[in-house]
Amino acid sequence: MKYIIALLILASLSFAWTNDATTDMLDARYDYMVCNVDYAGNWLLMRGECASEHNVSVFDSSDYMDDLRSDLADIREAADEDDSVDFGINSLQLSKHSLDLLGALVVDALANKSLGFFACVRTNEIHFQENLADCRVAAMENERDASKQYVNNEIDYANTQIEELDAIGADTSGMEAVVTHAEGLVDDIDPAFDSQNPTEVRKLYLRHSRLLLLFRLEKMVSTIEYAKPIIEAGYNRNKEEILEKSNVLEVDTLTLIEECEYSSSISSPVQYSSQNAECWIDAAELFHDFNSIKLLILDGVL
Amino acid sequence: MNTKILVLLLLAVTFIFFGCAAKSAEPQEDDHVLEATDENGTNISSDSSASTEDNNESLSTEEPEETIVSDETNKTAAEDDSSVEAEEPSEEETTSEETEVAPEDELGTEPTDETEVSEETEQVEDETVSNEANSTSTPSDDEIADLFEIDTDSPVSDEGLDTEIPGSD
Repeated sequence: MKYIIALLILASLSFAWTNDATTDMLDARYDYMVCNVDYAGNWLLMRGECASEHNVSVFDSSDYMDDLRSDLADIREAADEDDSVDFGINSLQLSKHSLDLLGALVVDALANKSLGFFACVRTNEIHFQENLADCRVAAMENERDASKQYVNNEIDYANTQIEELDAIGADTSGMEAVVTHAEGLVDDIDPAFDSQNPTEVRKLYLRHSRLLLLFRLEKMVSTIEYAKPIIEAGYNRNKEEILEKSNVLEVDTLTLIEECEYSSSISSPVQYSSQNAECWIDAAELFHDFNSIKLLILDGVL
Repeated sequence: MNTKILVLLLLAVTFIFFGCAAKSAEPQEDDHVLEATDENGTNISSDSSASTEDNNESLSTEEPEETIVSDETNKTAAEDDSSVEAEEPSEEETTSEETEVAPEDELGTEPTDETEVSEETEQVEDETVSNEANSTSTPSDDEIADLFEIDTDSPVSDEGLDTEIPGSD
């Protein structure tokens, strides 16, 4: 019976809300990555020509480029399927292969290169860098619009969830506070993209990631606080276990909310990103515990 | 001779008197018969066998009345009360009764007669209606279970747009 219930839950989760702006968002991000990979391919070709011109040897970068283009194809496929998870995984794979290429380039640059070779590369790369900048600006324009739409859709969805919980008498103040921060994030989208500084845009994503996490945690707290007295007054066979699990989960969730406190000002994206990763890892376990309470309640009814 | 006859007659009369007295005292040993005759007012001296049958009948009708749960007595009490209420029903009371009985129809219990509704049964109905109202306002376990759903997907990415690509040597 538990397996059947678990399958039903998984089936319901598979029909979870999806953001209508996801496709535009993934397309824009893919375009930005294409700019970078195209730049890398053109730059390596140019470097090889400089090497021939100055009689120096360079390493064979074809395998590295094959990896990058293969990753790009996977990202395109994920974008076509609106699979944001697969998109993220392949994006990280692309970043890894990019770092591999960078490491190989650093090693190669230290081996028997002439000053003329370096001068050739610096002169010819200007053109490619200008093309890269133009390509990125166009991609970022698309991403600016998609980002606004994406976050606004999320705010609408968040407000719907707040209204539903508020209608049954749950305390939604924590969720509302997160939405207020999200509205501030939307206001900061234009300035960040106008700066044409990828770091500023990245800060938006870091803040968005944190807010998304905090909203889910606040929703869990609201739900638990609302459900506990009802379950306590009810006759569910698993009442004691549900209440015990809910109490532990509530404390852990409140602790994580405190640890993952939101800040609209990011001084160190690296540090903030690292903290985001830790918060999401810790939250994943809490999400699992939260969803498992549903199984426990249904099991106690049957 | 005459004296002997008189003595014998006296003895005979005495024997007959005490014999009848002893015979008439035999049924009194049965308490039920005595109680029955007292309650029903039947004369045991007229016919002892008939009085015993009457007592058995009265016992057979009285004993179930004592063992039945107070429904029967409540009903009679309710009839008495309702008869009293029905004698002087004010307009306000009549309307209040109607409004209180209305949810009863929704619950599927049909009142036999408005005048037969006692205060006690009205209280029970009020409790039933109030319990019904509470059950509709309190979510079921299934509804509570539905609240325990949270998306487990991570966001698109928190890595932003900055995919590091080598610039120059």
